[in-house]
This record gives sequence, structure tokens and C-alpha cells, in this order.
Amino acid sequence: MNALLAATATREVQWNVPDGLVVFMYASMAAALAIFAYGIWRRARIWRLGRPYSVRGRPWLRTRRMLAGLAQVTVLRRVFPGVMHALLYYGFLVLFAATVMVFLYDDLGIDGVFEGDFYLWFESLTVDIFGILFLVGAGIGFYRRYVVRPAYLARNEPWDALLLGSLFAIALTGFGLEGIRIEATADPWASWSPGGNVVAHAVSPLSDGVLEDVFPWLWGLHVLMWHVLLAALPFTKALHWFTTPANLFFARPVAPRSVPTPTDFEAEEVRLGIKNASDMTWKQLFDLDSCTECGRCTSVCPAYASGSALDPKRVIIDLRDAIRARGLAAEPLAGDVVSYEALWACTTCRACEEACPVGIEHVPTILGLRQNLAMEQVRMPGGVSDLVANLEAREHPFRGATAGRTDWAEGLDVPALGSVAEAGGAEVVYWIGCAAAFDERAQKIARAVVRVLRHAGVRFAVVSSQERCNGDVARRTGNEFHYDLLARENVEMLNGAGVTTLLTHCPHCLEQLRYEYERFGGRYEVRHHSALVSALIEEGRVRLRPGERERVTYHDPCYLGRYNREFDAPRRVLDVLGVERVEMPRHGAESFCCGAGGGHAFFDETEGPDKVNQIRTREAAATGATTVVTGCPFCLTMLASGARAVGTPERTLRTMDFVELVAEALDE
Amino acid sequence: MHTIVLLKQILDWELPAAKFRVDPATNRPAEGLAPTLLGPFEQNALELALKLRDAGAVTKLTALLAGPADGVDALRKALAVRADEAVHVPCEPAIVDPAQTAALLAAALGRLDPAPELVLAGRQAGDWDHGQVGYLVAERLGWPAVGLVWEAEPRDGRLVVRRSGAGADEELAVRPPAVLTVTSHPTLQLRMGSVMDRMAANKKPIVELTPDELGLGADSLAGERRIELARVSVPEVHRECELVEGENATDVAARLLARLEELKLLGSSS
Repeated sequence: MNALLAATATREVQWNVPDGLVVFMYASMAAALAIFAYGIWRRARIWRLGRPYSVRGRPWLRTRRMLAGLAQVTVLRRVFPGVMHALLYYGFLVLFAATVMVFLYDDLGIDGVFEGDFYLWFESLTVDIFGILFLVGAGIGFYRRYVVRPAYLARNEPWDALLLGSLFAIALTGFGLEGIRIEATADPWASWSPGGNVVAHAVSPLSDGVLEDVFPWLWGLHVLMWHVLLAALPFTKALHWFTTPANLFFARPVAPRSVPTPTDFEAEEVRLGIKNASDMTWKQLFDLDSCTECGRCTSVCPAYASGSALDPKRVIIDLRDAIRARGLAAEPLAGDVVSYEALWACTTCRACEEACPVGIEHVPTILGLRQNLAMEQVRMPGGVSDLVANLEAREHPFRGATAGRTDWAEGLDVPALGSVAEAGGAEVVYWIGCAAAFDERAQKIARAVVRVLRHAGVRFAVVSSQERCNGDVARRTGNEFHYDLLARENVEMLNGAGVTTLLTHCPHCLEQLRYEYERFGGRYEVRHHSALVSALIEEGRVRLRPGERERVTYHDPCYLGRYNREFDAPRRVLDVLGVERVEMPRHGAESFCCGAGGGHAFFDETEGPDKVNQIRTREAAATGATTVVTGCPFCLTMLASGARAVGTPERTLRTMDFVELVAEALDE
Repeated sequence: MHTIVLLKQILDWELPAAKFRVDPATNRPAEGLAPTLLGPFEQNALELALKLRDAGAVTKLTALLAGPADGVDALRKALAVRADEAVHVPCEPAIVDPAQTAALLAAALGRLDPAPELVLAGRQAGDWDHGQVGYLVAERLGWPAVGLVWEAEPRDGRLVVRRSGAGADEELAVRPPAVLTVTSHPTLQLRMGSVMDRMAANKKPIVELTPDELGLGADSLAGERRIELARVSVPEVHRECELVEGENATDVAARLLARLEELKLLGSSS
């Protein structure tokens, strides 16, 4: 050994590796990279089938998300699997860096990266520590996948085992190589490599001759395993190493969230939802290749929890595999690759997207497929066709309604929109929505809102008689055609009346009026009643009597929380009321759906054996609350029916909109 | 077999009874109470025609309607489930006498090409409930009529139809040309058309045959009248509401039972 080198800490690169094996390494690396490139090309060919999708706007927000993903912030939102992933991820990065150092040193002749302090601190100590952490991460992975076995981590064997196993084996053989080299060369800096040193001790009974004989074979195996893995990347879920950061950048950063790709019904050739891959945007196709199969979407899906046919992870994986296998086959994807039952079971609650660490947008894809079922194949549950027939005939979704649009206001003498505009304008224009118009229970919400507005001295007018259904149920059941008609008529009416600001107590109306009507020229500043009532209380315009200290839990409606990011206002109001507010385990952005979204308030044909609303009601009851409060008329209906189903005559949860509690407590 | 479905656009039958008003000037339901829709039995008749077409028995399907302008909506609905042609006989205001309606429809049927062989009508219009038009059309054409049918199946040049009699289902065979009146049945819920068909329906022409063209101008049509509408009124309903209260659920139930017995509203429980 060179005396100069012996004085400076380093090691011999490719110690005991015959020249032929080095040639083999470069050859197999070239082959692996070629296969890798071919794989990426195969994937890119599918992405290029997609329709246009714009990634313009909010570059910083997008970059921040991507960086958060790269820093493992998103995966660490779940501790156990997050730690597993972070160990593997950071371990891999450091081990990869170590290999890059070898390349820099050996092939480019940069000595500094492999000598002296840097060699000892980084190349030996840090790399060894991260290598050990990497093995620990892989161990946790095995433990979770094969011992804990959560159902949502449904196995895709033998590939899952091979991927995890090869990562483990590559790291382990790395330590083996290090240990043999340390032992056989009596490395003076052995203590800087704690992992390798342990192996060195373990192999010390073997003679140097045996170690030197074994070493090239192990080295070849180590190299070959890595090259096979590299070549296989684009063909396995490990592709997410590259697609995930990009997907986090591509994912829609702002509202409207989770909407289907708009349909142009004036177009020469109208696309009715997603029939095959070419009807998806390239982002939707990219989503499929970003999936890590972690199953977080499935673990939070209410439809899955109820035992229905929907498993959001399966939707993504099945679409990915089918599109790879059949490209642009003529058979529609909807109802075939993703089953009719699964597509109709989705409540569009967005829990899957909120949980997804890689920015996959499941809901627009499910809705696109549902559109194809509804509009082209005309395959929908009876409740949905009834709903659509009712929207078409009566412009509201409540079949057999015994009330008219303005019955809710009987005896209240509320000013109608037109008259107030003539009389000099109103502070607030109140959009009632179909629920409060046609559902007796929900009528009380609108009456409570009016009481609070009157108490606070707010000048208001109601749209009521001129309203049509906002179209959300049509849109979320894939009936974009009917949605389009309703939305255009509402926008024309509101713009004609010069409306610029609106108040609503319905999160579904809120979502439409605030975000989704913009495409039709409807731009309004819309407030949910929680925001308005909370502001009125803060301004001192609402005086409240102190009430009983009742225990209350608040259920976040999906379209208010996850869609419109309003989590605080209703809670602020409850706190002012002086109730004892307790939280359910799943709340805020991680709230669990009531079961009504996606049109499910109007059909239950695809429900599982357990009912989503009953699961949620049990969760509310378990807090010990006597009242479950919400801010959506549809949640209210679902929770009330859940309370009847899971409660007893002696103890049934009371279900209230928070504004009804406010109206009860008004100091008049 | 050129098959004709007779349609009618009627006032929304889900209009709550409490909201129904009669316009004393016209003796008809007041305007603007609710939307008008394709009648429920006509929807059943249309669905039966579609089923026959699915079975290969229908070569051409025509929707025919005699009524005011809003009837065009009903015809479009038929086109949206791929009726081949839609024919409108405009008459304002809506005719109340079934004989006059039948006269217009029979005359229009005579103009259709090729000559119709099967006519399907709803068992009755969901608004006036006369239940006569189908039979009167059959009489004018001299065709057999089978009423209250809910299933039809082509077999050896005949139509085997099913209808429900008193406590039993009947199977009858009839040789077209014939008129069937169709009743409601779970299998006869009108299917939804695809959006493509629906958009195409909006572009299809609707053939208009005026009463004049049919030789039934105002005077001749008046001559067909058999019934005159004297007066329409909303029956007065007397409602009383009594709240039974009690200590708890058991108590309320006991009191309710006692009160019902007192009012002799329960069957004898000797």
C-alpha cells in the first residue's frame, strides 16, 4: 500500500475487485440505465395521451409543497409509516451520496471527497449510521407489511417483498463488503465505520484467503442488485421516487378543489367524462404513476370503511395497470376497470386527497369515470336517475317535496331580493338553497339564520323564490349536463339582479357560488353563515344569554372544511356560547364524512353493510357529547338518521346546526 | 311495426294539494303553480314502446301529442330516448273533452307514414283522469283495444300482453293494428336517455300538424264535443289536529290508544 495514502485516512476503492468485474459493473450500469430510460419513455408515452392541464399559477406554493414532500413532511404526518419512509429515504440519499463520492474520487480524480476528515466523518461515520438507519427503516417496513398487516396496505406480491427485500439486501451486502475489507486489510480507521466494524468482527474467524475469495462475488452481487433495481424502477411503484416531487408540484394548489374536468357541451365532439386514457388530463395519468401504494387514501375512505366496493387505492392502481396494458382500448374504463359499485360509492369527501402524501387527486378521476357512466352509458342507481329527473322537472333534488320554495319563510315576512335592491340595497343577500326550502328539518336552519340576522340588525334580502338547485348534486353524480344548465341559469339570474355578495348556510351552495360558478361568469363574495355569525358576535351585534354547559361535539362538513378550508368559525361560535366543546378523534381536515356527499343524500344503493353516517354518529356519541353540531343541512340529516339508528329511546344524540344554538341563546 | 305513443304534458302531480288553485275565469288550474311535465302513465307507455323496440318489434317509433305549446317538452323527452319522430298537434287552450282529443289524435294518426300499426296510450291522463282517449281512438280507427297493460311481447305476428285483473294476472293476445292503454308498473319506469341523445333531441325537428290541416278547425272540432266542463272546484278539507301528551312514551301510547278507541277509529277489538 502507498505510504502517503496510509498516512491520510482513506481506503482503496475497488479493493480486491478484479478488472473484469469493474468492466462488468460499467456494462451492467449502462444496461440498467438503458432499460431505465426505456421504462421512462414507456411511461411518458402514456402521459402524453392525456388532455391539456395547466400547471401555471402559484409557483411558490407549488415549490413549497414539493420541498415539503422532499423533506418528508407529508409522509411524516403519519408517525409510524412516516418514520419508516424517512429512514429509508434519508438513508438512501446518504448511501447514494457515498457512491457518488466514489465516482468523484475514482473517475473524476477529486481527492478531497475520499480523504482525511471528510472521509472519516462523512464517508465512514455518517454513511454507516445512515446505512444502519436504512436497515432499521426496511425492518419497520417488513414489520408493518408482514406482521401488522393493515388491510389498506393490501399486498401486491411478490413485487412488494422484492422491492423491500432488494433495498434491504443492497444495504446489507454493502455492510458485508465493508466488514470484509476492514477485516482483511486490518483497516486502521475501522472504528469510524461502526456498522462495518461489527461485520468485521463477525467474519474475523474466517481466514483472509476465504474473505478475499468471497469479496468479489459479494461485490458483484451488490452491484448487480442495485442495477436490477435501477432498471426495474420505472416498472414498479418505485417510480414514485421521481414522479412524486413532480406530482406535488403539478397538483392543483388552489380552489376549486377536486372538480371534474369541465365539459364543453358546445364542442364539435363532446367528451362525456372519462371513457379511456385520452379523456384524462396528463396530470391524471401522472397521478397513476405517482402512487406509492401506501394505502393512506383507503385507510381514511368512508366508503371503504362502510364495507362498500370502493377502495381508492385500488382505483388508482387498477387504472394504472389497465392503461399500461391496454392503452387506448375502445372499452370504457368506467364500469369495467373500476366497477360500477365502486364508482357510485364515492362520497367525494376528499379525505383520500387530504391523506395522500404524493398529491394524487382521486376525486376528479372518480367523477370523470362516473360522468361516463351517467352521461354516456346511462348506468346509475335508481336514486340518481330519480334525482336527475327531479332536477330536470322541478329544479330541485327533493322528490315528493310537499313544500314550495318560499314556505320556509312563512310568517317571517322576509324581504325578497328584487324589492330590497330597489329599496337601496341589503348588507346581505341570503341564498336559501334547496335543503332549507324543501326539507322540513332544514327549514329551521334558515329560520334561525333570519332570527339572528334580525337580532343583529342586518339588512338582508333572500333569493329564495328565484333560486334553482345549485347543481352540486348533478355535478357530483356525474351529470355535468344538468349541472351546466342549472349553473348557467343561476349565474344569469344572480348577475341580472346585480348580486355581488351572498350568504349561505349550505356548504354545497357555498362551494358552487364561491368557486365553481366562476367558470360561468359568476363571481361573488360568498360567506358561510358560520363566518358571518362569528363576525357579528365579534362586532358585538349579537347578544347571547349564558346557557347550560352542555357537552357538544362539532362535525366538520367536508364541503365546508376540506373544500372551503373553514374549520374555525363554527368552533369560535360554539366557544362563545359557553358549551363544553369536545373533538371527535377525526376532525378538522381529517374529518370523517357524514355519508351524504357526492349525491349520497339521495341514494344508498351502493352503500356497504355498515352505514357511513352511523359510523360517524357512533364516533360523535363516543365523545360523551349530548349534542352533535354541524354547519350543513345534509350532514344534519345524515347525523340525525344516524342518531336514531345508533341511539336508544333514553339516549339519542341531539343534532343541531350551530346557528340554531345561537338562535336559542339570543338575548332578546 | 310503426308504433305511436300518445303523450300529454300535465301539471306537476307532485304539486301539494294544499297549493292547488283553480282560476275561476278559465275554470282550469291557475297558471304558474308548478311546472308541467310528461304525464306518468304516458311515461310508462313510452317505456313499453321502447321495450318493444328493444325486442325488435318496432320499426319506427313516433311520439304524438295534441295540446298546448308546452307539449313540445314532452315530445323532446321522447326524442331524447330516441323516438324517431315527434308530431305535435297544437291546440290552445288544452282540450278537456276526451272525444275532441281523440278526434284530433285519430286524424293525425291517419297522416302518419307508414301507416301506424300499434298505438300506446297512458291508461289515463294524470290531470283530468278521464281514462277514455285510448279507447275512443281505437273506436275511431276501428281497432281492438286492450286496457291497463303493463307488459307486451311480440309472438307469431301477435302481441301477447299482460294486464292485472281482479286478483289475477291476465295474458291476452291481440293482433295488430291495436291500441293498448298502459298502466304503471315497476318495470315501466321511463329510462333516461344518454346526454348525446338528449342533445341530439334538441336539434331534431318536431312535425307540426295543425287542427286546420287535419280538417278539424274550430267549428268542426266544436262539433266533436261530447262533454262540457261546467265547473272545477277544490274540495274543502276539514282538518283538526290534536296533540296527545303524556309523561313518557308508554303513557303517550296508552293515551293515544284510549283516544283512538273513543273516536271509534280502531277496528273492533272484542
